[in-house]
Formats: sequence, C-alpha cells, structure tokens
Amino acid sequence: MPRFSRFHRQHLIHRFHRLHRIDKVVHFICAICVICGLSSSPLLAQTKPTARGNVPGEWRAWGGDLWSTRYSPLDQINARNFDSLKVAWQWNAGAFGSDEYYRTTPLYANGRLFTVATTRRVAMALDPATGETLWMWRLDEGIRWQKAPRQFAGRGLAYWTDGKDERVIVVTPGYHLASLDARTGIPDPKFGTNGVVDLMPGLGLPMVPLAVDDSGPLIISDAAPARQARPGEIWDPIKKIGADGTIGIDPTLGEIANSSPAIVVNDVIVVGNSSIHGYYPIRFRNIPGFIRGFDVHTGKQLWKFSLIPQPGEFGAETWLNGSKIGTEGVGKNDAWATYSADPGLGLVYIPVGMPLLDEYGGHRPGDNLFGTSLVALDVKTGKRRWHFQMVHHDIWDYDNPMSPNLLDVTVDGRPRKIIAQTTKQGWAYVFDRVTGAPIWPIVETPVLPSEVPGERTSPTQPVPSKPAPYAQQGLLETDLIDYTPAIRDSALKIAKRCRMGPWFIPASLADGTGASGYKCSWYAPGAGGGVNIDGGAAADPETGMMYVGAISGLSTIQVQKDPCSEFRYSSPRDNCGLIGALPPPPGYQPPASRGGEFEGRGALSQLGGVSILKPKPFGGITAYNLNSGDKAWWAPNGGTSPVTSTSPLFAGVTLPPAPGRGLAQVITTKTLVIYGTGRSGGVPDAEPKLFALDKATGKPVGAVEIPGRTTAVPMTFMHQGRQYIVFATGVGENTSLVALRLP
Amino acid sequence: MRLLISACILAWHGTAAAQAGARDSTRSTRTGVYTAAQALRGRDIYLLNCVSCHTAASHTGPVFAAKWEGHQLSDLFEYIRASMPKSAPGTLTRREYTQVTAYLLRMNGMPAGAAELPADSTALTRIRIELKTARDSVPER
Repeated sequence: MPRFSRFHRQHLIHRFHRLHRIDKVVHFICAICVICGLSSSPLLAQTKPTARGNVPGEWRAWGGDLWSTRYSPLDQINARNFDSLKVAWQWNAGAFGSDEYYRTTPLYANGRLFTVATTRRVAMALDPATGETLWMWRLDEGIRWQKAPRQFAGRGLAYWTDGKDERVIVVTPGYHLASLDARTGIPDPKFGTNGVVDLMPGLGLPMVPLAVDDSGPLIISDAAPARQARPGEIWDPIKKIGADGTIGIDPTLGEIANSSPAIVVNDVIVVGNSSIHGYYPIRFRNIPGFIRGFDVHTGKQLWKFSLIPQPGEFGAETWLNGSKIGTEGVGKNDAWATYSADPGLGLVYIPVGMPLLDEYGGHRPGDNLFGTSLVALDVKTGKRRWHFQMVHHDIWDYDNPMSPNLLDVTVDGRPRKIIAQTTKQGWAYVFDRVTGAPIWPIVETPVLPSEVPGERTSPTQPVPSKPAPYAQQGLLETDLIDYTPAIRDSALKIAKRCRMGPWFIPASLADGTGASGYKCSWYAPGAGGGVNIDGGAAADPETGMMYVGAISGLSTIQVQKDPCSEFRYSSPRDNCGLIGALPPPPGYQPPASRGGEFEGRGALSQLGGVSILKPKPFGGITAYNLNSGDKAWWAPNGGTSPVTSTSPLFAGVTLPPAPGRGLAQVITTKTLVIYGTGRSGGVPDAEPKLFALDKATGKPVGAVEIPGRTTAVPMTFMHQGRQYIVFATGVGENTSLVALRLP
Repeated sequence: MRLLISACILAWHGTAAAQAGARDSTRSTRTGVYTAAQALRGRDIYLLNCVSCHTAASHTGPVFAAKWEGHQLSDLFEYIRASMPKSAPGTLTRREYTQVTAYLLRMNGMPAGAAELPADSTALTRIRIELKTARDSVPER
C-alpha cells in the first residue's frame, strides 16, 4: 500500500508553491489572451451527452450527471492498479482565503476542471493535468455576504453548453446568480446585468438598504442579522458598521442564502435557497424556500414555486394557522440540498428540507407541505407534477438532504423509470419518477403522539416496506445487546430511561413533566441521518444497483423552553446573552451545570463504553439492487476497529469490532465503488485513505493513502487519455483539491 | 478540657492544611494548561465537526463565562464528550475531544503552555476554568 513519506509531502507542498507562483503569471497571460480574443481552450467534445446530461468520461453536474448517479463508465483505474495511484497535483484552495471544511465536488467538462473555494465562494477553472489556475471570479457582496447564513465554498457549480458556448453557473453566498464563460471566467454580458442576476428582488419580498451594527457574521441562531439602513446612514470603515450601499430583503422577514449549486435542465437554470440553520432559532418567523427557473441565455426569471404554499395555492391547507409569509411559525421548507433532473421528461426533482424549528412544531400545526418532501416540477413552467411528503409535520430535523438518484430498472419484469430518495430517516423512498407512485408500498403507519404542550404530531407517518433501512430505526428491546443476561438487563435499564419506540419518537420534555414522565426520547436516526449531505448514494445505470453512504447510531432528543427565544419550546439551549436574543426574564439564572444546553445525548446510549445497540450492518455503505429492492451487501466505512471494555460486566465477552464512523462519500465506476471516509469518518486515528470496493460484491480491492480525509464526494474523469480522481480536503486555510492518477 | 481544645485546634489545622493542599493541586486555566499545537489540531476538529451548528459567539466571551466560569475543566470536557456533535454525540475520540477543549480555551483567551491538556477526566477535575482576569476573548472561526 503506497504511503506518502514526509519528503514526498514536502515535495508536494514545494511543488504546489512553485505552481502557485506560476499561477500568477499564467493568470496574467490568460488575461492577455482573453483581451486579444484568443482562447487556449480545447475544441468542444464531439461526443453527444447521454440522456443523463453527461458526456461519458466527464463529470458535468454535481452528482456526475443530471440523474445524480455519480457513475462513470471509466475503468482505467481498477482493482488491479488502485493501490498504485499517486497524487498528480494538490491545488491549494486556502491560498485564496479561508473556509469551514471544504465541501465542494468539482466539475469536469470539455477539458477543464471547475470548482469553488473559500467562504466567498470564488469560482475557478483549473488545468486538469497540472492543477494550475486558469481563471477565477468572485463578487464583493458587502453586507449581503457578511450576514449570509451559509458562508462557505458551497457544494459546487453548474455547467451548461449548447455545443458552441459554454457557461459555468455560480450561486453566491449573498444570493446572486452569475453566468461565466467557461473558457475565460468572464461574466456573460447577455445574462442579467453584466452576467449577474440578483436573486433577491425576484422573490417579490420588500427590498431595503442594509446596515449592520456589528462586524461579525450572522450568528447561527438567526441573531444579529442585518437591519434596514437609516436615511443618510453611511459606512464606517474603521468600525466596519453602518450602511455600505448593499440592498437586500427586509431583514425583519428573516435570512436567506444558498449552499448548493443550481442545476441546468433544458436551458433552464433551476435555483433554490437555504435558510438559517434550524438548530437554535430565536425568531419564529423566517423566509420560506423557493424554487425558481431562469433562462440560461438571458437570466430572465421564468417561474417561481413556493415550497411553503401561499394562501390559495395547493397545500396551503396543510398550514392550519395559515402559511402567509410573516405568520408565526412560518419559515424554511428550504431545498438546501442538491437537485436531480430528467431532461427527457422535462422534470426537475427537488428534495425539500423541513419547516421552522427542528424539534418543535407547535407554532405551525398541520402537515406543513412541502416540508420534508420530494417535489417534481415541470422545468418549463415550474408547475408541480407530483410530490411525496416523507415526514408529516417534521419535528426530527429530517430534511431531505441529498439529490435523489434516477435509474431505469426492471421491476417484476416491467421496465420502470425510478427515482430513489435517500434520507436521514435511514430509508430510501423509491418512486416511479414519471407519476410519483411508489415502486414498493409505502405505508401510512401509526406513530407515537407528542407529550409536549401545543405540539400536534401527525398520527401516522409513511414507512417504506422496501428497501430495508440502512440505519438504526428508533429503539426496541430487541435492539439491545444481550451477550449475557446481566448485560441485557443493564442495557434495558439504560434504554428505559428514555421514551422507546420503533421510529418517529417525538421529543420529550427535558423537565420530565410530560404524561409519561420521560426526560428524553430515543432518536435514531438522529438529525445527521442516515444519509446527509456529506454522504448520499451512487447509482449504477448499467446494473440498477445503488450504493448508499450513511451513518447509524443512537442519540436522544428533548425540548425545553429557551428563556431568550420566541419559541415556546426548542432543543435545550440557552441563547441568553447572544446579540439579538430576547432579554432573559427578571431574575433568570442560567443552569448551574451542563452549560444550559442538552444533556448527555451520547453517554446515555453507552454501557461500560459499549453501545447498547446490537451490532448490525448499518451505516457504512449499503448496496441495494433496485430491480428487486433487496440489499446486496454492506461494508463498513474504512474498516473496523476493536471494541474493549474495562467494565466487569463484559468480562469474558468477546465484543465484535466497531465499524468506521462517519459518512462514506461514494462514487461508482465500471467495476468499482470508490469512496472517501468523509471529514471525520473511518477508523479513528487511522491515516486518511481513499478506498475501492468491488462493486458487485463489496469486497475491498484497494486503498491508497491520501494527504487528508475527503471532505466532499469525490469525482472522476478522463483527461488526455488518463483517468483522474479528484476530491476536496481540509479546513480553514488548509483546504485543497487533490488529484490522483496512475503513474 | 485543655486537651480537648488542643485536639480541636489540631484537627482544624489538619483540615485547613488539607484544604490548602487541595487548592494548591488545582490549577487555573490561566496558567497554560494546553499546548498551542493541541489547540491548532482542535481548531481543525472544530471546523470539521462543530462550526456548522455553532457560532463562536455561543461559546466565547460573556456567554461562555456565564456557563463555565468556576467549573472544573472536566465538566466542560465531559459535557462536550457526552453531547457533541449533536447529530452523533460521543463519536469523536477522547484525544479529539481534548483537542477541541483546548481550542475552546484558546478561543476564550486562555494562554497556551508547555504541557498538553490530558485526555483523562480525573486529571481535568484538577483544572478550574477561570476567565475573569483573562484578556477579552476574541472569537475566532
């Protein structure tokens, strides 16, 4: 197995720095070429895109293609040579600015690699063979960026071509849409205003001049947003407060931003938005999610679809207290994940997040369409073709977190066009993508009611009969370890401390004043899934197989009153003291221990350091045959590690090894499933590696050490006769793209 | 009677001495209880696992002081270990949780020192969170 020696790493770093110096020269030369009307770009590929909107060997959409298969037919890198992969280049994204963790999957189209980087979401083109920067573009968004809820590089970009012109489409953190010439990075002068469309005015919400009273970013709890500028207010460049001339949506309505790329379908750019995280909000109103279509040639807005149906629209009746923007409890339902599309059907598929507040819905009684739904829209008109709500009245933070996978398969002898939505709930929901009819029955099943005052949970939730789940569901006595009677009794004693059930267990009141007296409920899968945006599935159009990267675990959920929030209940938290929080009630004292927040979620599920859950083939990578809906194989994320306990309870008991943690980041090729372990995934303290499995059997066939753990889904392409695998890695100022190829 | 009083005085001295000894063995977070390298690794862990749900303002400055001033560092460590990350609590290693704890101290203006913060909860009970005379914390991302 190859290792990168310290010398090799230093050599790579030195080589990068040299390249970076060269970059400046190249950038200058490129600029001259552009000015002279010259272009060094290769001729457009003559190969016609497939029905999935990709050219074989390229990676033209975030999910590989518009079907989000993450599939490549390439096989130059295979089981025989995977271990001999070497770093071809490492491109230092951190040289352009800082980031959180680098969560971008680049695109490859027509001989160039496209990516975004830094909290400013700078768009870049790179030479795929060397990693040299070809061009870069960024927008100074002033207060719009400073107070953006999602300040990071984002998941990536979109690409479009008509065979003659090529465009790279960027949605910025401050919510602008830009169309750049893929050859030069120059904004398309025919698109919007000088290549940029301000995405805020087209929503029809009041726009105001913005100002800030602090120089910090938006606090992740919706506190400290921008405010409307006072007449004549100016910018103080020393204190960095005041009005800088930026115009935006009236901040009293909430915040809006973007975290995932647009998708371009049949010359329509489909764009959504994200909201502030719903973890610890203070305000019980926010801006809803919207999906819009824009003409790829002009940037003209073609249609708008409200993910919280407004009065008179289909689904508004599922908001019993009303759905009008500004109503108490109305906000979010934002489609913050990536999207998929079938250009042949003219449909775009939108995985929608949940409504405002993750764990309490008492301010928004009803099913809350289109929260936690999959929505199919006609890409020409924006009209809803069909939808399916996975979670009614979601109070589990079960946003649909990932673009669904499209496949053509044969079910019971009948050719079917299907779509599979992997979810945080640990299930893949599979539908006919033309009609929205479930391929296998999805049964409305009675679930536990909430005991929290004001909370009206749905009496039933849809539960897929097939495929079987890839993550732990709730907690039952049969799920508990039972290596010895004493272990079983001890595990049961722990389990009974929180409310148990098969699935969809509502949060308990943290003070135990609910009817059952529980202070917590078991939460599995938790808010992170199952599947979440870092993981998700690859689908093989040749075989109908789907490979799901997921996590599985056991946590607890509870709610209580945050004295400084507008919500009656929320996840235990004390927002008091934060800028923008409500003043604490007179005489209020923060809790003496535990930081005023939720109690030991993880510790509750451990017995002598061992999980009370029986080991099951959950999380990791699960392969399904979607012709039959059956599980084919399971593999742990990055292998396993031994489990030991010093507790006398486990004396003489041989404990099974623990699978690697975290969300595997999966793609598939002609013969392999290739994956990185994710930002904190794999076996703890193991050297970061990229792994390969035989896609037919799940058997490990290769592993190669890499400079850092993958922080986003990898991608692969063929360039000048050589197959590359490229992935993002790193955090802060140490972010980079790494390219691997055979020697 | 005199004997009894002497015994009481001796007993009082003994208790006071024990208490003074306990105080002596407790260090303040102002004395450099973690290393800079440890905090740097903690920053990476923080950026990978924490920052997407949190903001620096929720665990720095007056908010942090109100919750943790005077607590044993083991309280903070065990709280984080038992509760975080929210979606997968307890899934980091003790070493990683220690590194994040070191970074939180750095975020709150506590100085670095020569010795690493131990990953042992018992050892952390002998470190007290003391912020009051520290310089104003500078929230970092």
